[in-house]
Amino acid sequence: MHHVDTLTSPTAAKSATKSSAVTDAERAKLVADVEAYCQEIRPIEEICYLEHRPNPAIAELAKKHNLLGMAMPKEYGGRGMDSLTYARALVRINREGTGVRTFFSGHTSIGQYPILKYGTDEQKKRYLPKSCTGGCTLAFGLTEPEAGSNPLEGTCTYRREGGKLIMNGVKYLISNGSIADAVIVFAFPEGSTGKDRRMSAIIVDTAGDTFEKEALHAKPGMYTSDTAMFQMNDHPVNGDNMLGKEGEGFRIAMHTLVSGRLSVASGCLGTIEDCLDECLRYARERHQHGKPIGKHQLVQEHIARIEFMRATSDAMIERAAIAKEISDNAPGDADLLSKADFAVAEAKYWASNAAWEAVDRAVQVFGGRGWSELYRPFRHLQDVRVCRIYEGTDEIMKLKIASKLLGKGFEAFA
Amino acid sequence: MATYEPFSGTERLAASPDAVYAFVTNLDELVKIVPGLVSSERVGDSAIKCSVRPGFSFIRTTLKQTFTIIERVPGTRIVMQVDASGIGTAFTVKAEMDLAPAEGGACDLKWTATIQKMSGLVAAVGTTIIRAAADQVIKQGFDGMRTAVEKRG
Ligand SMILES: Cc1cc2nc3c(=O)[nH]c(=O)nc-3n(C[C@H](O)[C@H](O)[C@H](O)COP(=O)(O)OP(=O)(O)OC[C@H]3O[C@@H](n4cnc5c(N)ncnc54)[C@H](O)[C@@H]3O)c2cc1C
Repeated sequence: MHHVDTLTSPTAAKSATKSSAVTDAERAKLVADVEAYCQEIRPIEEICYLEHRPNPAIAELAKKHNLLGMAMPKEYGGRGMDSLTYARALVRINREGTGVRTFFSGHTSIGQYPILKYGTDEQKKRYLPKSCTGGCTLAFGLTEPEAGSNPLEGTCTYRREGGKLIMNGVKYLISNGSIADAVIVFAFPEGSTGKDRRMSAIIVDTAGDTFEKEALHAKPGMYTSDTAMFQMNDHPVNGDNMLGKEGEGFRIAMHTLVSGRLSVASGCLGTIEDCLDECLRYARERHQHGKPIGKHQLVQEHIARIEFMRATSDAMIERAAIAKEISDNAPGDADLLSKADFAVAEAKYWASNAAWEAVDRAVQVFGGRGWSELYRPFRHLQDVRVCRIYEGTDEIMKLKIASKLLGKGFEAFA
Repeated sequence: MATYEPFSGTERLAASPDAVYAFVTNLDELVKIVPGLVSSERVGDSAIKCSVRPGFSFIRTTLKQTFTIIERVPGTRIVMQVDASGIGTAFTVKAEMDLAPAEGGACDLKWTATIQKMSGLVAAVGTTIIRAAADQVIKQGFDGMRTAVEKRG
């Protein structure tokens, strides 16, 4: 038996997806709301994309369709969806663009999720309800200019002063970073060395001129969503905003990334699905050499490969979402979390590479029109490449998978 | 840090060396020709702090810059240091300007700008981009200086 196979116990898998307090009707309503959101956002998103400008409707319409807390419990104003239903929602949303989906990943998967998992009751009450209703956009600030794959090389700091936490340092490449009202920031105690240098997670409210932010524009895709850097200059934060225990930040970050990576994998499946739809339509309509290009066998090969990418990614995402749900339902169970981490890493690696193959083939099917932002495949191509980089690169996913299989003594980062 | 060849050139300005010297050492006037100036504040006889938004599509950060005159020989030579910092970025440039009389009462301003320190995000950007951006800023700066000093005569 494969040690991480979440589906060896079908009853556990089944009960995991049924365990949340959500009815089938509520799930169906969410699917309908997501569809309405996607239909409404498409024309706005397409124009913003072509004009390379941010699309404020991503958040505004999410509020209108009540999608800002899809995976948050109802008691905090969310819709209480399980991991698989939420993953499927992100698949659909990402068909409208990786930028659109990345907003949700930043806000929910890596923004709300750590507050839900590690926040005190008071923190949850302070941040989650307003984040579910459009009053507080969230982001996750781990990466720094000199600390990416290894966040432990970070240099952001905090110190306690008069009941406040005083933050200093720069965070870089942060999704929603210039539009967020609060960011989960990972930082070290000021002046700490050796064993005392342990990372903590802190909820940082962004208001005030000691928090300087800047949207990044030199990017070859995802024009409509926010990628930013920010600098904290003696930025004061409520002393109660430490998330989890002091020094527990690395663990919180790694746990949060399980949720984040699943959202990236789901998004990639949306990219593949949209490319497949576009190719099927175009291959039927476009004629060359006296017949639809879909009748040329080499074009059929592209379509068949995109379908393989779709089907395999779909299966891996479902498996990973179930593993995550089982783990979420058993807080503190390190073994289940480790299994979820593994299954999600596999799905993230696979789906992001599958999407890269799919967008490339879709561009090819579109011929000269494929090499244009006017058509959906090329927009997906520009956007999806980043999915092999953010929330853990391809290389980091492979190290995680191989060292886990090899077992004790083979930790890649030891 | 990547190594950057110094930037250099000569500008002929239709004003006397004394007039050019007076303009460059009057920091309140000088900063007005800095492209993208947002605000400025004197911090002593020889230094001025300002906030600048360079108009490049790839970097829209606000830079805090301090211009400090570190050497001056009336009518002949000015050496200025520019310390700049933005979110996750810092650099220091030393600008040397030698003034000499030219035909018809004009002034030849021979200048060299050397990047002394560059750290953070901007340091990772390709040297050609930095060079192209600096060329653009320098050209805009001298265009502004020409208009200002030639107007005064
Ligand atoms: C659009 C976008 C949005 C992002 N959003 C967020 C966000 O919301 N929050 C956040 O915190 N971060 C975010 N990031 C940052 C992202 O997670 C990092 O870029 C990523 O983790 C890689 O870090 P790095 O860029 O510093 O690359 P580096 O870590 O410098 O890696 C460079 C290369 O070296 C490889 N490498 C590094 N270490 C090893 C190793 N041990 N073995 C083998 N290869 C290795 C990497 O795989 C990569 O190929 C975002 C990035 C982008 C581009």
